[in-house]
Amino acid sequence: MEFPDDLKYTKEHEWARIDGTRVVVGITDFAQEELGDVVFVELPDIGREVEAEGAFGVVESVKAVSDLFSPISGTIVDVNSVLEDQPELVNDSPYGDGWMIVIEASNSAELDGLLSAADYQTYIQQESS
Amino acid sequence: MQWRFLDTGSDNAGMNMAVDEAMLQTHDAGATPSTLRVYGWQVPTLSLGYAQKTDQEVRLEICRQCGVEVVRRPTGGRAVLHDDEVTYSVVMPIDLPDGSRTLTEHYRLIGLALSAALSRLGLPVILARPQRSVMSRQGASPACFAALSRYELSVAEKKLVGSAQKRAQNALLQHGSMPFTLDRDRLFQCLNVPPEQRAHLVQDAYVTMTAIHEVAATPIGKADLHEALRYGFSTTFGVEFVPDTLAPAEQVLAQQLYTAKYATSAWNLGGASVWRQSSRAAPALPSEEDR
Repeated sequence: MEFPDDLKYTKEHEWARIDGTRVVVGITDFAQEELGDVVFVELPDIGREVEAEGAFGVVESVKAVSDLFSPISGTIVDVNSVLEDQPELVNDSPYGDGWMIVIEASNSAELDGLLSAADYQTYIQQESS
Repeated sequence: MQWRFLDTGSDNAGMNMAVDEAMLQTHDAGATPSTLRVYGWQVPTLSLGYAQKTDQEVRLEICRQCGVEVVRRPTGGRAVLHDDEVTYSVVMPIDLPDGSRTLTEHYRLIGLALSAALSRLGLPVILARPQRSVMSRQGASPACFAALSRYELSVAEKKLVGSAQKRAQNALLQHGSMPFTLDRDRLFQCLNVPPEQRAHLVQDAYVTMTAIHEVAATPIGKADLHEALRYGFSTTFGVEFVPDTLAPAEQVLAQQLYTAKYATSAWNLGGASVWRQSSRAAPALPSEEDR
């Protein structure tokens, strides 16, 4: 299972790749493994405002429907529309081609509250025990 | 610890789903305790999974002719025909008492509760062992019961209880159909399957699917199953049940969800994206001032 060091993480199993105020978001390797085969991803419209810990979309796998939670507040500036026809990218490449949205962050301080790879790894070890 | 036990009786399809979602939202907000609910369906209903494409998978005209309602669930999976059955739904925290939170663990525990319930009724039920999921994107049948997945319940290798789960931030909803009888012909008449395969699929369903009255050695009624479910969840989760009714906030929210979502063709036939484009976001909980 992968926990790239260059990413930040949340307890809801999203990852964030931070580039200034532009933040790319997806779900983690742990999340996609727990979900099983992803069959559907519902993403928001570009331009929509999101709040930290607010739901921005939905993922359905063969096991469950799960809300997707934004790590930060801001505006959706891009979505990975490829996932509409290829939801399996979330399983095959959760940190790469399976990315979900790009947020223009409105509150940089929220980025400091995200988990490091080491902290996230500790968290999921506790969660799974 | 106490959970609520709700018997909301038989209602129309849209309200059944609206109540389940209202229960999830209120429990997610911390406003209600964990709850086990049992209910039924006023008319036979085909419930679809969250992302199923109605135009591809359902024969709507046949459903109308057969008097079968169509509703879309808030949970995933494939089509289920509800009729002569008890439907269970449970809302509970994602954080389990032992600290674990995983999807797999929830399915396991709820599976154990259902297994304990059915075993109490003398049914030789088996909880499917964790293994590579049989369900995949390449599933041939749009019908849920034709696929056996992890921690699901079977008798003599035939699926008896199909369940589906929706996870919010702090809480989850899992619900499932526990049929007394199965109308396999009607199910596959309602589904859009290749005509030349329909008869084979129905025959196959006698091998892959079963119902309580097909496997029970003694008569089992709704009250028996209700009591067994209370027993199963009580012993598995270490809780006692208090009979209750929906809280006022849940009733209001369920009515709002019914009107805005589960009674609309945009949701039931169009799906989530169509519905969101045609309406506002799902209603928020009533504020304290509104209560």
